[in-house]
Amino acid sequence: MALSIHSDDFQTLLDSLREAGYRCVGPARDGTITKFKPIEQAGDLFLDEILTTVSPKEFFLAEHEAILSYRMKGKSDIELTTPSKEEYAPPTLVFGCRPCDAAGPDIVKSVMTWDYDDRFFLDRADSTVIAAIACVEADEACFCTSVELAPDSQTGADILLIPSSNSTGDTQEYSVTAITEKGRKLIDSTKGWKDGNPERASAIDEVKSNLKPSFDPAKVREWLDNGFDHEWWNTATLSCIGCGTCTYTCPTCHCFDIVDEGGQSEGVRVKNWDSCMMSLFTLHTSGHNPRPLKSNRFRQRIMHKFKYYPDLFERILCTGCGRCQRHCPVDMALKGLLEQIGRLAAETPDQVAAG
Amino acid sequence: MENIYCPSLLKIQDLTWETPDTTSFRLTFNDNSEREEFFSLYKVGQFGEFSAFGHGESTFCVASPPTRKDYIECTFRAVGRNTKALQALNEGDTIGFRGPYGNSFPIDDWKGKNILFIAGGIALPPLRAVILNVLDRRSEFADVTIVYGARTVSDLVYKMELQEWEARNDVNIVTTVDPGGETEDWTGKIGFVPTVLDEVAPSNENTIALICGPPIMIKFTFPVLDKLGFSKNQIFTTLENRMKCGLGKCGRCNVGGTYVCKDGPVFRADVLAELPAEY
Repeated sequence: MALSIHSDDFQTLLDSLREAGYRCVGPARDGTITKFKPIEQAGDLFLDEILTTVSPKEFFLAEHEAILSYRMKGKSDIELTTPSKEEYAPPTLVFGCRPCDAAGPDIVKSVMTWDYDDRFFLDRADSTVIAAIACVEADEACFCTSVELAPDSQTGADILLIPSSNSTGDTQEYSVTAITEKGRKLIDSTKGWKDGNPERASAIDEVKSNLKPSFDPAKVREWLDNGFDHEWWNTATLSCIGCGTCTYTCPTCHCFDIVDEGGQSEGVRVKNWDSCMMSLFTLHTSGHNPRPLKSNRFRQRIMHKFKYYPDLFERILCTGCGRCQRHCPVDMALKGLLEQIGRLAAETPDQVAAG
Repeated sequence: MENIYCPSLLKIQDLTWETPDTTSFRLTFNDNSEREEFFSLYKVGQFGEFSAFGHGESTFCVASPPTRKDYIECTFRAVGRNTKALQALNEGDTIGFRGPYGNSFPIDDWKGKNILFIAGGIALPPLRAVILNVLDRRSEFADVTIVYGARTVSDLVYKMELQEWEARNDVNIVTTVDPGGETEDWTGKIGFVPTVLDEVAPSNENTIALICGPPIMIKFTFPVLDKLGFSKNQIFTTLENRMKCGLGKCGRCNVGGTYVCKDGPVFRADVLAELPAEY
């Protein structure tokens, strides 16, 4: 049966989520930025932005994940405790993210289950329902259609809300599709949802047709196959200041550090977000660094997303959300760089092959 | 679900000072079922994550062979925070260990072959596991030659074992120190590893060469091996890029698209030659 929800009923939904034992996180203002925060009042939801400053990645890959606590017992014995799923992965609804953000965890899952299962990611993914809202707007940084996604794609979402033509300035009706069993279960156990099949807003299809793919990831990957030593990397990455904002705001960047916090007798081992854009990331204790230059690190980031990861898992490690461009302090546009690679691939295939 | 980041607890049974800044641990598993699980998986050349709680984890190759199943050993120089903290521990203290990870030396393919080990300084420990493994299964292999050098006599690790290997008549071992690094009673060679290797001139015929050492030693040893007629598919080495997880997830040890923690740390030289210079 076709379902819908009206923004006037968001409070009903939020109240029933709480009763059903879910916490709801949604886009909200946080000082000068927007991010996904626990939402109790519908009025705190901020759904007007094309994309939040920060992605909801932290609910799958915590910025700071306690993976172990240790405690000295007696003189030399040590007790280790792994936090329980209930502690770090409470039932959660990520409400109102964009389809590009919904796709993030689905893509990252490949590496988090590669031979060894990362329980922290998997438990969090298992406890979390994603209700994405299709886009009625895009900006010049958006490029989801270049990476096999779309403003209304279902990848990674458990529930997809499609804005309908039935909207006023402040209120909006959505058609609702349960994509996974988990999404269906959440809808069945909460309130605010109604029968109905409101007409899809024409803006979605306008965005979709205006957002033409600006590069072909297959061609980019082909160029990268032989492009490791190409001089283009040196010039293309000159303006990068190596701040790592692109990696922290990225919904698919998942690299991490493992450190101990605490003393010798008691403390916590944590997994922290790390960034391949930092020179310390690969620095050996001996002082040797396999990626000493900014251009080496930038190459690593593009190679990882558009060649290494696709080679391993047949998935592009990018959702085209465009945050890496939007928040880059020196306006380095990943989309623009990929377009350049697309042109290099088309223009000089022989030279590229020669390196 | 298992916590792949949770280490086993190991007790320091024996602590040996190899050099003024390098220590070896002999470690026993607190939990016997974890020991059994480890040895059901462990193949020579694999590595692990060793931790002093409160300080972090460090990646070392396991320095003891899978033929010795009561303990594992590791040898490390105190350079960073965790290695310094490990070195400050005493016999009887407990450390964390995760592993075994990565691939291994395919020594079962080398039966009947001559094995040549070439190592420099602190890079002997990864090869020491293979040396002991080969010696524990001595009859399966032909000639065993070891060329080992360090900057000075005091920088040589496993001094007791070097003597034991020297005393055997089925091992040909040559030790050397850099010019100026000798002592008055030094009876080994004086010279750099590549030069000494050239003098020893082991035959390339039916031989597998394992090489591990600082980049400068590797760089000058390859031409010597080439001159001696070794092809790249006869030569193996082990890489140690910086790692955190050891499990293919933390994203930093890759050389191009090759993950040292999963596709390595052991590489055949012809495979290594195809990789970009990112190690």
